[in-house]
Amino acid sequence: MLLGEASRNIVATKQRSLLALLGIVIGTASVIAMLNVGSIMHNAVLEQFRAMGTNVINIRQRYATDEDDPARNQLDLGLARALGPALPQLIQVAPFDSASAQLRAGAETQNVRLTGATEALQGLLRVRLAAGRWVSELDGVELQGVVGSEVASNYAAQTNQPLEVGDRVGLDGYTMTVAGILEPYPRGGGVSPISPNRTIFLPIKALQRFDADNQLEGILARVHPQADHQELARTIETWVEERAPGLPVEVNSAEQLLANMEQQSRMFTIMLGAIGSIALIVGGVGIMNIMLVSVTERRKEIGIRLAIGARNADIRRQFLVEAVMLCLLGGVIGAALGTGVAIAFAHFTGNPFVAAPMAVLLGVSVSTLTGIAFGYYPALQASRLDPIIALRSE
Amino acid sequence: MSAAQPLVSLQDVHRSYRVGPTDVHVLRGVQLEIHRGELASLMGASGSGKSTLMNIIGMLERPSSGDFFFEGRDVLQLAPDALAHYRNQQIGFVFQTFHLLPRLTALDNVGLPLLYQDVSKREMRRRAREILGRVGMGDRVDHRPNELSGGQRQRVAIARALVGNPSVVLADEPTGALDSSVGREIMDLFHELNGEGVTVVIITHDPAIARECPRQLVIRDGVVAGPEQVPA
Repeated sequence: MLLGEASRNIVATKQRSLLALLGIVIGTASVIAMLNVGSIMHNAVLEQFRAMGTNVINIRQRYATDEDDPARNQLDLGLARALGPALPQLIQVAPFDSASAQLRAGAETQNVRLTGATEALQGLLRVRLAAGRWVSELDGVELQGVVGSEVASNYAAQTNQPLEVGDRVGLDGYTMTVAGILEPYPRGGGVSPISPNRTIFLPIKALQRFDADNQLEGILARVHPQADHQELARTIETWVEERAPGLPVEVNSAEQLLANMEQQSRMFTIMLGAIGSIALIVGGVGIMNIMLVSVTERRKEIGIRLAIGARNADIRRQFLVEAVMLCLLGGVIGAALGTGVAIAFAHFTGNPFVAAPMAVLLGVSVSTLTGIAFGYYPALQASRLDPIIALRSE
Repeated sequence: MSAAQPLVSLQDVHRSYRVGPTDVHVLRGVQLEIHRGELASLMGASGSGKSTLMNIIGMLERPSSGDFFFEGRDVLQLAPDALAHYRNQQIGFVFQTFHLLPRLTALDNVGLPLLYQDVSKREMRRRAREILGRVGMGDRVDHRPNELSGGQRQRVAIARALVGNPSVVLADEPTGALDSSVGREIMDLFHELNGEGVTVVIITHDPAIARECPRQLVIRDGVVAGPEQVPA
């Protein structure tokens, strides 16, 4: 009866109710969108690191040193080979280098990224072979290539026949033998500067044909799970400084990157939360306003109810229920809207939509609380009316 | 309860209002007893304090001074919630302009007092329907007030006053807004209800209506006088 009456009163003043709801709708929608977007971003970040794991660092030279200086130090294979044994925190060390080349496919060509790899890089990237084998130390300078899935499928599309292990293909002026073909690699590589799908992996020495200098693109390393990444970064920098003075290196850690991204998304969350709170307060004031108007308009009704035996608490409850129902309605609309926004966000950023588990519950309870907080004063006003004066009003 | 104990007993009741800088002394020592089963009329000029007296008896308003006993209970000692409870259980109001809630059907309007009791919705409807039948509105239960004539609305209002089985029905000019023939029917209904044992107090301007009540009260100069002052 109480709920029925409250909904009747809301329906009776549709237009006004809907306008008053707007703030609540926007507020709840922001809160829900915020939570869902946060959850989508969080998932996207985690997804980036899923393939490689988060315990990976990338060491790279910050800028090129003077090539004319014969005494200059640079990030090279020798340094990389010494790194692993020197630092036990590093489980796996994989130096790599890169270049680009044209892969001939029949009459056409495609631009491919070449990565010079050692045996360790497979385990570090966690790439999986669809066919053939990974590059080997024994390949030496031979052009034995492991082809990324996209490169392979592009090749197949251009020549109308699939690329197979043992095929010999033209790579710039050279002929490369296909040693292996990779399975598709999950999107995003965390700190990795390598996109395996669009890459042909060559033995690191063979890459020198395409990139003459000895400077590496970087060194990927897997870190012991218990290691402190920040401390490790400092240790590596010190080690490099001792061994190769003047070599500017920087260490990017997946964990640090993850922390940065998390912090960014937290900022975003706080901002949306603030917008949501302001909208909810504005919405709450709107609700208070409409309820005060409603109390004034229905003074006579309140008088009648008091005359036939309603207690002050009954009147208070009636108007409070109405305010809460109004807010709840706004909350439900807002929840739908906010979820919609989050779905759109997921769609446009190309991430899968992940519903934040508590979002709808929180949105609805926040709107209910708003209703109670801002509906209480009008309800109190209503319950304190003098029945005689209330009955006399029109 | 002894038969002699009055239902309503007012002793030396005063009521004054502050209007601007001056106090308006409306009731100046009202002495009044109403007994169970009575049908009484209360007359008086405009502003004589009829409605104030009725509001006091109906526990909507407190006297400025004096005593008010309801069935021997000192009403002025009761807390607001207890007063609400009394209004709900013991008193039925009938107003000149009906005061029905426009959005509710006749049935829900009549059931409204039971909303403030521990009565199930089903029981509420059953009793509302029964009372509506008793006042001759059994075939209009689902109509809203604006779909009813004035007389029909007043019948619904009377049904609402009766649904809680009150000790007394207080009617403030119940026929004032009605045609005389319709007013006649409403008066017949009050007589009928009184015949069934319902205590009724009717405020009226109409001497004819006042005269047909077994007990006639007149309020003049802030006090209640007996029947001999009813103008012929």
